[in-house]
Amino acid sequence: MNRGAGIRSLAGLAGRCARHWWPQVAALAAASGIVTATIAGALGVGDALHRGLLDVARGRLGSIHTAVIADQPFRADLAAEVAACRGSAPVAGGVIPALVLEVAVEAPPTAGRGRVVARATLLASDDPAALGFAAPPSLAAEEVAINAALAEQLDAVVGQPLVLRLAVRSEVPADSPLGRRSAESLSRRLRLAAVLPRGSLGDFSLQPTQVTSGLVVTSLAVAQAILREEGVANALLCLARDAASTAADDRGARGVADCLEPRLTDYGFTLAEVAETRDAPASLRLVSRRLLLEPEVDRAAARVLGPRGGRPSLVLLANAMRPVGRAASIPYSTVVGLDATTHPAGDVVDEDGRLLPLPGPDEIIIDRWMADDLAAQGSPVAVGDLLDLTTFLPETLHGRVEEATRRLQISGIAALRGAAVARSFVPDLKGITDEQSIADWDPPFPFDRRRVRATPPQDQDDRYWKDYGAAPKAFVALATARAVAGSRFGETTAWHVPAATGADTAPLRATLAAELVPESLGFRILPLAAEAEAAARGSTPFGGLFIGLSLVVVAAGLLLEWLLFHLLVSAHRREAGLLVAVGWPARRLAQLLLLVGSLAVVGGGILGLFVAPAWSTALLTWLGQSWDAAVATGSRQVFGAAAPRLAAMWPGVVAAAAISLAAVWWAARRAAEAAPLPLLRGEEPLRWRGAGRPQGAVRSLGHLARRGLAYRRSRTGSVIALVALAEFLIVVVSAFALRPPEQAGDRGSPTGGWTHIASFGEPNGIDLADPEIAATLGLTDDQRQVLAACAIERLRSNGGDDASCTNLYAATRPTVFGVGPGFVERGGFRFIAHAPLGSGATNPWMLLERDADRDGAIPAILDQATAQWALKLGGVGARFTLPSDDGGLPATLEIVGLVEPGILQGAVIVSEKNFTRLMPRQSGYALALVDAAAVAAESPAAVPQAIAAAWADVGVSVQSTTDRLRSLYAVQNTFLSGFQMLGSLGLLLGTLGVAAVQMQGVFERLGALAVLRSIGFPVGRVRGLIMQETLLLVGAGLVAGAALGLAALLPLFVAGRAVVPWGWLAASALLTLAAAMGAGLIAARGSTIPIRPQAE
Amino acid sequence: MLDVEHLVKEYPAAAGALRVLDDVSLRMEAGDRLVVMGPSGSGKSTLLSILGTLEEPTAGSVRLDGVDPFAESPAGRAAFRNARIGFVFQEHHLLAGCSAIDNVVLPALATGRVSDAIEARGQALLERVGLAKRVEHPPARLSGGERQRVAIARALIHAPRLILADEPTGQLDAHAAAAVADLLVELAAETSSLLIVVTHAASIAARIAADGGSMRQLVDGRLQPPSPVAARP
Repeated sequence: MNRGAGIRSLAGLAGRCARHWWPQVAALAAASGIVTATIAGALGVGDALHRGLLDVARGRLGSIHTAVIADQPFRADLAAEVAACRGSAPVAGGVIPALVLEVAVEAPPTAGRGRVVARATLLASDDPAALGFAAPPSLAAEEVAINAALAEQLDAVVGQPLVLRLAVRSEVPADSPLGRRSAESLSRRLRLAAVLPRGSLGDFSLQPTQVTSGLVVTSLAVAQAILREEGVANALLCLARDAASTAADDRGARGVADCLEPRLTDYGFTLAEVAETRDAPASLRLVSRRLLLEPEVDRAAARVLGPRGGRPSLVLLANAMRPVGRAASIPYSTVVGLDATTHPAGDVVDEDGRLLPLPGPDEIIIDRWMADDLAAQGSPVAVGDLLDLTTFLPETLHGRVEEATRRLQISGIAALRGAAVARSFVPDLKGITDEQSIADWDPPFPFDRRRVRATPPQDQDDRYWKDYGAAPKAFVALATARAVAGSRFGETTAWHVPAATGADTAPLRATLAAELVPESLGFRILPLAAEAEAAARGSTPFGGLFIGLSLVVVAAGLLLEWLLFHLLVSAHRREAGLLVAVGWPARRLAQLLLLVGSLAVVGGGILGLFVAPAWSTALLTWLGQSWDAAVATGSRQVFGAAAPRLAAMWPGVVAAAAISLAAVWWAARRAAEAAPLPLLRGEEPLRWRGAGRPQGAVRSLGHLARRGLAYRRSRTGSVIALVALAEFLIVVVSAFALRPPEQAGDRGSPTGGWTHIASFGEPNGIDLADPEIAATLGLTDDQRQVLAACAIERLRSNGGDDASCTNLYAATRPTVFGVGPGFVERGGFRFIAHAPLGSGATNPWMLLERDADRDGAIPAILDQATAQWALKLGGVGARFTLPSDDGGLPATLEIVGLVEPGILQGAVIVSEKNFTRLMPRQSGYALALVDAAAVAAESPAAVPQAIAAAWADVGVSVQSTTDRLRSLYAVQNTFLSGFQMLGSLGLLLGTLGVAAVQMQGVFERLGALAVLRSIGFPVGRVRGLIMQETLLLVGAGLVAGAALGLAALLPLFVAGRAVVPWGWLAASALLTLAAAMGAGLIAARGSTIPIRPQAE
Repeated sequence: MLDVEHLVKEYPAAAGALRVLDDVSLRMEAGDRLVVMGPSGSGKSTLLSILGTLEEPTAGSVRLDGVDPFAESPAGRAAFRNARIGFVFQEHHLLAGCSAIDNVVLPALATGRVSDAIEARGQALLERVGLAKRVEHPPARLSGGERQRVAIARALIHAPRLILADEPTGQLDAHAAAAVADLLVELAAETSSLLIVVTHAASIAARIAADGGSMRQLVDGRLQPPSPVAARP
């Protein structure tokens, strides 16, 4: 009795119906496929991009999982000591010493002009093969390899010479008056031995970046020779034994930290015996290359050296010491701050050998030579007299060296013995302590040679120098010295420890070194593999972004699905009516229709799953090309590094199926709830009702077309809504396309009124406003004139990750800019929101100067895009933390203002004062903003050339602010273009819906249309009627969508914040109308309209 | 037993309500046959739709075996229709993608799966209507008369208490129409079902109403007294 193929169940009947209704089911499946491919494809983009970012980030590291980077060179042998750390897996793969520095590269002219790349990375390593890259170069002495990107920029070929130029970093912080603010560089000519292709060591970078920047590879010896420092490195590259041992967290870094035990010399400290020339006892002296011992070192020395009789001292440079009210003066002398007049370097005693009491807070002890000299100048002084002590402020004030004077009372006169003749108080300072004559001094600070008596017979100062060198001429209490010369860089210049001559000091050095924490003294331990993993999460969730951008397509696809399903049901109303008539409840009928729809949706889902990878690939290709062309050359490799995976798309398929089924279920329920009789008769439930009811006779073909549309109000409304939605979104989105301002000098624009940005390879103290420094830069007269006409503000930067939208990687250590009072007072940029200003105040930048509140939160200003999207911090009032650069506690910052995204996008901006609090180890300025509006118009090329010349020794890249804005805007404009393209696709889908509706309408009205023919309508006129209906449908949608869009944006148009996108309006309307014409033609010609009426 | 009392049906119209049925009352016992005739627009199909619970009356009541279907929920009314009423339409309304037997058992799918018993009954009904060799044929391969016979078998699958036939022979030639009319009468008699047929064709009406059936005219929505019925030819 049982039939093999008989229908026994609802599912069986649904299958049979689906097979029989295949044209409608196939159309529905196609629409479902579009929705699935769109959503799954968007997820595929996110997944492929994430993996692409990860692949590229890992590809830049080779086998390196952790790096130790120091801000000063250390012994290269430290690598071997770390690698020898027993039982530590993180260093088991090996530790390679390297020098990783910024370098300028010049291809000397062979024919015509030579080319220069101002900023590239130098990787100097003796074992590049160990780094885990493919095809490492084999370099002989005096040879260099560069990557393909640099070779392209230099137009260099193997065999030609290249000149490498390294900036000489001042060991003394540039912000200290004793730090060098002029630039100096060292260079060397080498032979280009190899060009490293992509996918090799040429991709090396310690920062995850989508763009491969220039790379130079040399041996360690070559780089050391350029730096003139033997046996040094500034990086330890810790290698993984294999890929599996590369931890994706910071375990590797912690393991390396456990093994990292630098010696004092690695930190730049020296603890060695000093032998005074006179009667001072032998002692050990702890000093720093940076002149000042950091507070951390001071504390360690107090713990280790204090119990051994060690005493601290702080030397300050007195530019002048003048008895109050007298003309006499002692120029350029050292004054020592002590905490006791008995000191390992020598005691402070009077002529009788008696220990002088320690000066009080406002007192000073001068030595006999000074007292005699003042007397010789006609201004004898005695105990109790007042003395003005003029010194430099311990930190430059916004890059400028300033003086301060303190009045002290003479409390004693020290004999020229003991401490008064001890040269060891002063650490070695190149250009001063190593000079034989004071006339030969080459100090970094403003030095008035006219005040120095160095020429006989007035050669007192030079004779003193030759007799006593840098021995102090005066003594103050340590607390007084610290009040005058202490700074964030430290408040001690040396510790002295009594020691027997020739005693072994190694154990003491080791003990002291063990007390120091490398991370707080300039050693940064970077878990590069883990950071790559974190950064590869991306700055933008591209999967979500493209789902957002594809919403038009998804909405249009869903509407199309709903429409097609509605048409499917319409086409089979009689069958549905029959089922109702034989007693099927509405719910059961809905289930049947849902099952039929589900088969279409599932089929479409499978289809979409196969199409989605291709769609993802197409989007990635387009994105790669767009970013490459408009944002950052080289971005394409990230977008193309990984293929979309089906596994990542499954959620999209499920989501698409779910929303498609929801749409179908809704339509099925509505259809099943229709009254049985109209169903059975195949009638549409909605006929002319209410206001749509036709009035009067039909008078034209257009009138007849409108009647035809009004008859199917539901379908007509759906199609118009679909077209209108797509058009609305296109209009709204297109209005927000960004263009750089025509006048870069407009301070209220996103340029802030600045015309150029210069970023430096090495933070520096070069101040063009300082004539002495400017004179050392080798500028031509023209260049000086150009720069003199420019307003220049220098910014500090911590060199963190760029959080702007042009960086595909997530910022793990955001960039912080420190802006000085000049920048703040100048103002500029447009604030979107800011904290309340004080009464009468109008410049929100002044909020940066606000004192940190009770919680110690530092005021910060960001651009809105970075605050809300890239760093996800929130709005005004939101608080966040940033790590300090000396291993201290993270600092809390509070957003006090949000500016419109502009040239400073991607950075946290704080005041310079707070920057130095946040980043105590950072010194110098990393970039400069230039307002060359007065010059640029006359000679546009002269400004960047002059800037490049001024900062040539530190490596500088100059960009016009409009170019910077163009690359930033290109990101948003690229996404807008994507949205417009996808919106247009949605419009085309809407037009497909029109075609489907019209086709169905023709099929349903074959009888009526045949009547028209039978009463004498030519077939062309009947087709014209269908065309008019089609154009009416699409036209109504376009007009409604455009009108709504323009109305929604009216306030912005009026405020000038958006531009009416006439171009896109016209283009999308023409495209859609053309597609509609096609759809109308298909509908009109796709069916043969009989000449005699038939049963419908 | 079918008990129809004071049935009224009105439709909204621009010039006020349009009354299509006006105080129609009717009573039928098991096995009764009734042919309703009348001019176009007289309300015949509306009467049948209301009796078949496809439409609700404006006023009056319908009771089949004492049950008022319009007191039920829509789902309850559908179940009532499924179990107690068999429809035969002028158009056969067969599902094109389904075979003859599939179409016959279709009402059984309203509440669940098709049981073996239902399928056997469907087979038997198709044999009974002379389509034993057309069981697996789709509608496209059946003649007009055969399709209508499939529709009759479908109407009888649940042995309904009331068979409603709206112009069941309207699209058939005279020979096929006579055969279909006879078949309806025979099958209704076999199951003691009430049979109400609406038709324009006097010959078909006479054929159905003969031998104990009744014939009434519906004019302007009012059911006229029974007409005399001739014996079956």
